[in-house]
Amino acid sequence: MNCNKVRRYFYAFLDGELDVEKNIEVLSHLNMCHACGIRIEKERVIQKRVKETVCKVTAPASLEQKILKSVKGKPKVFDLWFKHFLFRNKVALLSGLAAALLLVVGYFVLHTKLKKEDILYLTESRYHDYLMKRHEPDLHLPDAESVMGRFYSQTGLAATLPGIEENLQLQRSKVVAEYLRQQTNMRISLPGVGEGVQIVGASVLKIKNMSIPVVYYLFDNTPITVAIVCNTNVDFKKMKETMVDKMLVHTGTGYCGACQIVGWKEAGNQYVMISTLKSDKLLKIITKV
Amino acid sequence: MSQKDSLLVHIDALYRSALYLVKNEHNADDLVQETYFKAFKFLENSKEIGNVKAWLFKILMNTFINQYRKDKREPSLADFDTIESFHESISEEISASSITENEAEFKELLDADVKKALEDLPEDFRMVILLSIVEGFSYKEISEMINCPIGTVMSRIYRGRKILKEKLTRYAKKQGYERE
Ligand SMILES: [Zn+2]
Ligand SMILES: [Zn+2]
Repeated sequence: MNCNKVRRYFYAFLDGELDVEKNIEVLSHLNMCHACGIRIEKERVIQKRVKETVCKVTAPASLEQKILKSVKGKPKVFDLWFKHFLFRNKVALLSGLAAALLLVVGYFVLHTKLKKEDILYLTESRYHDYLMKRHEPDLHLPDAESVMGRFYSQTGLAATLPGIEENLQLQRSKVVAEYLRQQTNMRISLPGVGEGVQIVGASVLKIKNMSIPVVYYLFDNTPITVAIVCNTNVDFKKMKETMVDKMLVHTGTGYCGACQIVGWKEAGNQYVMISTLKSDKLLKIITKV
Repeated sequence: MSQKDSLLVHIDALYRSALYLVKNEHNADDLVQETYFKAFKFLENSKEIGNVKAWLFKILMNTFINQYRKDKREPSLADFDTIESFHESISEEISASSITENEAEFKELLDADVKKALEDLPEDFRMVILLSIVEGFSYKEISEMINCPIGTVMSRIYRGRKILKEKLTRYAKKQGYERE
């Protein structure tokens, strides 16, 4: 190898990325060529200085605390929803809906194969903004405590009255459904949800010329879900049946073509289904047409 | 060590990369927080992760690319970063290589100079430099992390370091004059 050729391999050499043969060639050239020896030494010094400088940065102590606080004691949200939706069948239903309700549960981790213009991808970005408190729902519902407070001051009754939580939840669902109906002309029903989950707001996102209603939930103090309502319909009958963990699972392509439906169950006039987008599970509710 | 602890030991590494990518502490904080948020969420539903550090960096890089990049519509450098052009650019650069660099003394560079040189690099170059020089990931790992062919990674590392060296040479010479 001549000098030019050797220098071409300097960085790969320093990074230990050369195959054995090339590595030997570079080494033997460096042994006999003073000029290249000086050059590679300089590269090594730069490499060392960059590493030293960057490594002087450490994370602020408060960051770890923030992270731990944000994940402390969070239940397995997906399991919780799964239980409520699939097994208890506690889905609040209204008839004759043209819209389908799609509930996105859990968190999409990485969907590198997903096209950036995909609706799910775009909606996930908004979800991110919401989590990072950069996006506020259009419709804000008063938090439970202030509602309870008002209830108490008006009636003198304790907020722990049996049934009051459920009642509040139902009212909130209605308020959100009404708001979304006004905004989009779609008739939407929201499913009943389990304890500790509350609806906190809703928005209508304009994504790719479509109006996508999004419903925000809170579990404890963590925003966990986004509901997307879309007009769609999936042919469940054509799906393949397999048994997974003693459960009958139907597999097929999801509505956007990027996700896979891995299980579904009929509940009244809606299908409750689980699909995956890569490894990320989604829960959707789709109304029968 | 609990699963959470085994993830949190990488917090400094993630933070320093985040800080050099987004260039401000507030966003670096956000970026690292979100990385862990996603990582913990993912672990709730899943099995073991082979290389935890590489996996965390993949989440960090993806989050950065998708959310924090200054202008997402800017065409990626990958578009013209083929292996062919890599070799062409190398031969050009070698024949036109700087005459002055032998005079420079890099050891005396200030941290502030290194920081500035690094921060001035285009994002695509800065990313691979942080991952290779600082964190010591292999080219293959980097290519998986940022979803680029390995040839593109190599070319970015080559060109990024080349720019870095030119800048640092200039700074080092300046330091030298000021001392004299
Ligand atoms: Zn030589
Ligand atoms: Zn889909």
